Amino acid sequence: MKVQLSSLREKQDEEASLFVSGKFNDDEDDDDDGEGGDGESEDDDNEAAFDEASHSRLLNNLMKMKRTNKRIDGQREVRTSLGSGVVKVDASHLIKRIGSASLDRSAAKLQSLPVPLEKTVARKAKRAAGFEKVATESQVWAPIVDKHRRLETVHFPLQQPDLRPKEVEKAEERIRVPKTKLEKEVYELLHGSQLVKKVETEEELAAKKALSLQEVREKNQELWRQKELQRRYEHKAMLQNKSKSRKYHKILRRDKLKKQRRDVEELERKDPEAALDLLKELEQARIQERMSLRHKKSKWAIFQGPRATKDNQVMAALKENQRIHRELVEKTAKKEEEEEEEEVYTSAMKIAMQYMAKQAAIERGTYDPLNPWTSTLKQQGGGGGDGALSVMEEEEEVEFVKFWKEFNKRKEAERKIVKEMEEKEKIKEVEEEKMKEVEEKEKMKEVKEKEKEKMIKEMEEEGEKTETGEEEMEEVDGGKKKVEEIDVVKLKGKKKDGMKLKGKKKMCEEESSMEEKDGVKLKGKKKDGVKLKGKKNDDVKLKGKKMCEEETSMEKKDGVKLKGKKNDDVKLKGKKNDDVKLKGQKKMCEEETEMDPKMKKKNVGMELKVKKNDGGKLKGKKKKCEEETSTESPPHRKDGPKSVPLSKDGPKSAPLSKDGPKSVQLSKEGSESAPQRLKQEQQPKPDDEEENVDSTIDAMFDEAEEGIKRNIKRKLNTLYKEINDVQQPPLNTKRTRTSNVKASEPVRVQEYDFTSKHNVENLDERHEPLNSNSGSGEQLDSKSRLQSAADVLKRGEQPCDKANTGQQTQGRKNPTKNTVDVDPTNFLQVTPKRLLTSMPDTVKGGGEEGLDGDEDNDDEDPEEDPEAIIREAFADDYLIDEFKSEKAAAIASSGPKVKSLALPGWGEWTGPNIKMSKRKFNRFKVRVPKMKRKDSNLGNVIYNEDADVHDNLRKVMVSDLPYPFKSVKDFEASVRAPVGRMFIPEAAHQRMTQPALTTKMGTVIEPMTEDELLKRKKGRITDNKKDKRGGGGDRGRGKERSRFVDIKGQ
Amino acid sequence: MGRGGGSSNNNNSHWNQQQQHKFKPKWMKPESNVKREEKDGVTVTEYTLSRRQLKRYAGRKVVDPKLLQKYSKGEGVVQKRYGRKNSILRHKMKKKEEKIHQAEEEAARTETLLTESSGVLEAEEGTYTAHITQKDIRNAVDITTAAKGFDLQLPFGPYKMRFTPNGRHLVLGGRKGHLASFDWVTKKLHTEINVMESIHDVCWLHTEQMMAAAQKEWVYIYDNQGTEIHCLKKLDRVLKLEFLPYHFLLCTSSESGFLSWLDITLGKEVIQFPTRKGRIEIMCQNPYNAVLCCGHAKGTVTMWTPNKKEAVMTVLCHPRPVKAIDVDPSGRYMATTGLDRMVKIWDARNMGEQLQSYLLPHGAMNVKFSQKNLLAVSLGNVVEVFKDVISGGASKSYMTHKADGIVTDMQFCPYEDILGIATYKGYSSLIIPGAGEPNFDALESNPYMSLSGRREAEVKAVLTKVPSNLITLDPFTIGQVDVPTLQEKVDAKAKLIHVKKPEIDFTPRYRMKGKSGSAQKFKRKQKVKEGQQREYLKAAMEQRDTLLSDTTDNNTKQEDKPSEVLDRFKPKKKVQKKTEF
Repeated sequence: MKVQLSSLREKQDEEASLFVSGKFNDDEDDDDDGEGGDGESEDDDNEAAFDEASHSRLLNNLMKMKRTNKRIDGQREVRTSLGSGVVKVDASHLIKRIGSASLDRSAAKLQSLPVPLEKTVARKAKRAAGFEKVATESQVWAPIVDKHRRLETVHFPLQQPDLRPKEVEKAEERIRVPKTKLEKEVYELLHGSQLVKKVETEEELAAKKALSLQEVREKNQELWRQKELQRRYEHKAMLQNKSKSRKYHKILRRDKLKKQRRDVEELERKDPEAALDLLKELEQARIQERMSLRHKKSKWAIFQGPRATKDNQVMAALKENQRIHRELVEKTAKKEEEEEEEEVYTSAMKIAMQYMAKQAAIERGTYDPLNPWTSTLKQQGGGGGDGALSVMEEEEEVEFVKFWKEFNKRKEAERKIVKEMEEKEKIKEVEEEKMKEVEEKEKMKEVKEKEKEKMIKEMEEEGEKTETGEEEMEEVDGGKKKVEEIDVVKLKGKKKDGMKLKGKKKMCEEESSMEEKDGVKLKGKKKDGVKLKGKKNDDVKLKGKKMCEEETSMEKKDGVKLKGKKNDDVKLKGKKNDDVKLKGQKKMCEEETEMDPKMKKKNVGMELKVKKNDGGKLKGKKKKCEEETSTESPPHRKDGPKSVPLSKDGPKSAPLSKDGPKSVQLSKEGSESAPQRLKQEQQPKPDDEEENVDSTIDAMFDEAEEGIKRNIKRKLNTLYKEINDVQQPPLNTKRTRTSNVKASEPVRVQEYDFTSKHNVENLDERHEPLNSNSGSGEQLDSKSRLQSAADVLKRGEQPCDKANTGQQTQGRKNPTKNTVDVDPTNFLQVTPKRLLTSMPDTVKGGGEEGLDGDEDNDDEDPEEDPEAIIREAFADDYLIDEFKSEKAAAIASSGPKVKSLALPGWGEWTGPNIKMSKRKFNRFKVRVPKMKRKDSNLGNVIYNEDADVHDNLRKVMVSDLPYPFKSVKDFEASVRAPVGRMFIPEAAHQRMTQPALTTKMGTVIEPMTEDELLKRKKGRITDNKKDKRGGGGDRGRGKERSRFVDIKGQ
Repeated sequence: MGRGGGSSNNNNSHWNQQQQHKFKPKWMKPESNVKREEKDGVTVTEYTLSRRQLKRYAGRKVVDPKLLQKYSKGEGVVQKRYGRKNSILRHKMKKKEEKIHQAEEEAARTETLLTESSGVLEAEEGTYTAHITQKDIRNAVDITTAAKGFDLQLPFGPYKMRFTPNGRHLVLGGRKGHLASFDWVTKKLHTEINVMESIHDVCWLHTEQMMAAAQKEWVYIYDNQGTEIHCLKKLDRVLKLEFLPYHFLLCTSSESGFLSWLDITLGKEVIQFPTRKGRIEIMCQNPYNAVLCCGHAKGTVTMWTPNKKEAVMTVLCHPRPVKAIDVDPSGRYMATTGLDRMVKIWDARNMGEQLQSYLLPHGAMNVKFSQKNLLAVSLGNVVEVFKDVISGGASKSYMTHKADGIVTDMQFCPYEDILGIATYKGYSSLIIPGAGEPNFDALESNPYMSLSGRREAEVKAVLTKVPSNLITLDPFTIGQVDVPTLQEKVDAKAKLIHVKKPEIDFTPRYRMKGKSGSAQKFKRKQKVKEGQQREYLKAAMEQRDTLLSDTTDNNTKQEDKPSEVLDRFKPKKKVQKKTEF
């Protein structure tokens, strides 16, 4: 080992010397030239003289080192040689020698050598280089390896003798040694004529290959250069890695940032899309930074804490850090707002305003990201970059500020006037409303009666059909809509008034449009406030009487709506900076909402009482509704924004809103219709006071309605989810957000696709059943599918258990027929065709008349008609009943048993004969997913799957997915075709069972040589299929193989 | 010919061309270049090809796309999902799919070998085919065919009968003990004995060398000479016999409602259990999946496999007792008759689906399908044969025959246009044109089989015996993945406990004589630490294995078990080499 190492080292040294020597020589030559220019006597260049000169130079240098304080003045005799006496040396010459150039050179030579690389690093570099080399070398083989791997059958030995009949020309290609005289003569003749190419000997070739001195030198030079480059690179890398200077890294980072920015700018110019992508990435990084909360609670910040009190710089740094953190966190909250605002503003307007406001804020020095007034501005900054800000000129800024101030003042003044106007109008309206209420009451009564009937029907149908449910909803709402319409008209009137007012004040167009909207909204709200007050009073009264269930439901709704509005208010406030008046309103709203929970408690109690009294069908349904309200409403109460979907037109309007503008409209409508609803809900009040019974029923209906609505809403939501998954996300921002959150919940990712193509009959046509009553089949099917999909989503897992697979297979099996025939009698009551036969001798009056006679006479009883036959046939249905009970028993025995984890005695009085309450039992009931039986929609069939696909069979079935397959379906598809010779023709069988590898007996299988590569270049590698052996050989092999397999099987 | 046998005339040129082209029906528009002619009731299709096509399909006939559809094996693997990284894998998948398509095409090509076509009776205007009597037919047809229709008047009354699968031999069993077997074509009698006991049913075993007879007490097996080979006392009071030829199982149903399966290669009973359905007199096998179908007085048809003591499927077919069942040879259709005078045709692979129902003027006692899906129904002493029962086109009988006595049993002879009926008074074979499959697959069942051929077929059949385990309603189950188990496995894998080895803090005690030097001490410490950790991990692994073994079959137990059918496809166990030092 040592020897090797040493030899290696020697080799390296050798190489180094080889590379370096040239350079040294050059240097020396240069020196000599320089001397020659001086016209010295040493031009002869004999060796002794040379030695002398260099020696003297050395001595001089030594002198120089000693001569620290001494001056050099005049000539000095220096002894340059130890041997033969003193040689006089010209001092001027010496001085020249000591000149600055030589000094520099010597200084340069004095520099220490670079520290050799650390061993590990050096080895690493070497390894990397070696790897690359080997990789390139082995890459040459890649195509051949690839080809062999692609082959269906590889025949070894790869070099097969070429058995094809050889062409004559090829055979004669060989060089012949002339033997006979004639041959020799001919050969000479040919040779002389230079028709035959002369074959070069090896020596000649070697001579050709030999390099000239110049070439060798060049080669060496090149090698040296490369080595030098490598060295430099390594050195640089080393230095770079070594540096621990913060400053250096800081600079580095800055440089990087700068570069990034430059790149972005450049990209923006060249390829905006790519730039966008890049920006997105950056944004992503920023988000990550934000999420990591690095700025808030980094270790650094914690350690800086105590220092901050003493050190101002640290304090500043911490503040800066905090600011960054705030900025990062602030962004999210703002985005949400922005999205909502977008609906109200036109984009151009918004941008302009934000820009102006931001400028103003910066100008005033009050720009604070936390300030809601200025907060909206930040998005602008985020979007356009700070660079844009600086572009604006100062003069313009000043103008904007002025304009803005004026704008605010005007608005306030206007609002005052509007308010006054509204108060006047309100008084009028109240009077009008009273009149109208009387009229509408009658209408409402009628409508409600109709509703009741419908509702009862609905209840019976359990309101599961979403579509019909929706229709009914619409019908129910029909009455109310009428009322709403009237209100809308009123509101429009108001709007106009607002317009007039504004017209007087001659505002610019944009402002006026803005104001118009605001004004209307404000009016509505104020009005509501007033009304609400009134209602509150009413409520108090009603409370006393304890019979205002309807009120409570309405209250709930109102509360919700009010909150929605409140949010709007807040937003408005943020936007327009005129919160003074709205605040008052808000307070009112808050009061209202505070009232609500109290009300509710009492009302719930009342409802319970009513329920107890009420023994009707509605009871169960109502309970459900109540449960839902009790569970769902509290969260809605707490968080305002979420309550929006609860509003009546939430579910209906949501699917309609397909694009931005529409949703904007809808939101407007929502704000407008809110007051209307309030009005309309106030109307039944007198009703309640008059008729107790009616009111309770109404309330019940209302509640039921609410429940249904909620059901519908839920279903719609599930639908949306589905749609979201399938299509693009719907544009209702809020909903998408919630759905996205749900989607991003930790869903268990399935490794495999378990869908199987069980029971696929591919060989023949499907038989249409006789009794396919395809009435609402499709609907049912789609519904069930949706339901299952929703269930799956809820559970957050894939349908992969037994039952589901069964279901799927069923579904796939019968794509067209999904009729549910649970009653076997249905099945059997198909009118049969009558067949004409001759009568057997045993039957009285039999003969061959059946065929000979007319069709009327061919039966035993001429008066018998098919109906009678059927009647007779079903005179005793006990067999059918028996079958039904049998099936029920089978279902019961196969299904999961009801189990509860409730412990008897807990939280109860103990003693003998403890009875567990049903409630408790149900509470701890273990919910086992119900498996759908395959025969669930076949009335006349009991299918026992356990007996069919039994355990013994399961043992021999495949229960793993082999390597490349990731879905059961694909694996099954891969083994779908039989390969045995009993099932497919012999030729196909042999092809299918072709072995992957064959070896020829008795031959040595040599490893591949590089000739293979050459062959490949020539394109001579023959395909294995079209092998030289020919088809017959192939067949023979196939046979051998198959026989072999058979034997193995035994 | 479904199992595509004789493909001996594939030559090398086929092979090579097969490699070069692949059939692509996309640009092949069959309508534009197909010419159809009808000659003597046979449609002859001619394809004209463009020059390009001709070049492509030189020397090879184009397969009718519809025919190709018939032999299609279904959809393949969705290859897009695989091989994005591994193109070789994808290439291999593609190749395999190509092979499958080639096999399909090859199978479709073999249809050209089905040269024979079945005839059919056609009535002149104003007459019915049912008017044509057996006598008329016998007079009209050639003498060999005429000889196939004959009557035997036998005194040992009500008879049972059975043809061999190749349709060559016939066994008759009379209630009064008459047992006879003969080559019915040549009328050569193999044996004729009186077993001196009542015979309830007869049945051939895998060859014509052996037959089983359900006698008064037990089932007996006789050979071709009439020698009693076995008396199966385990099968007592049997009413019905069935033989499953691919599984070598003799199935019986008894008076006491017991079903039993007996493996005749081993002489072992596979399973026997009570059905608790009462006397089972009506039983037939479904040749498609080897499931037994039994008819009951409750109007139900139950299906049984020898794997579980419960019915796999129960179908309510009639609101009155079921009288007869039969499944057609392809296993697609099931016919039932009941006391409600109905004949119903069911989709046998999609049970519960009633395809047709017919009302007869009188209750039918027997029902049988022919290979070409003619349906024979017996009402008392009348036998009616119907055509197009499955499509619902039948309204009048195709042929009718009035026997001497009440028909007790009947069967269409395979590969012949013959319907054999056994009555109270004997046996008669009726000529029913168009009943049998005209093309037989000699590898499957050969009517003209030689002695050596039969021997070879017997050996091969035993070698390819299908185990009773695999009997299930859907015979393709074996090619499917056991999804629940797979699911369990995946779940178990997800739940795998990843144990961490425990930290062990061990301070070795002091020892004299320099054994507590730091190096020695460290070594000792290390030894103890590693030992303990190893032990712990070992225990944990064992535990995990036991946990997993619930889902997977543990190999240790497998060694003791008799080998499974598909064991041969399992990877072989590596023999551990002993290392000697």
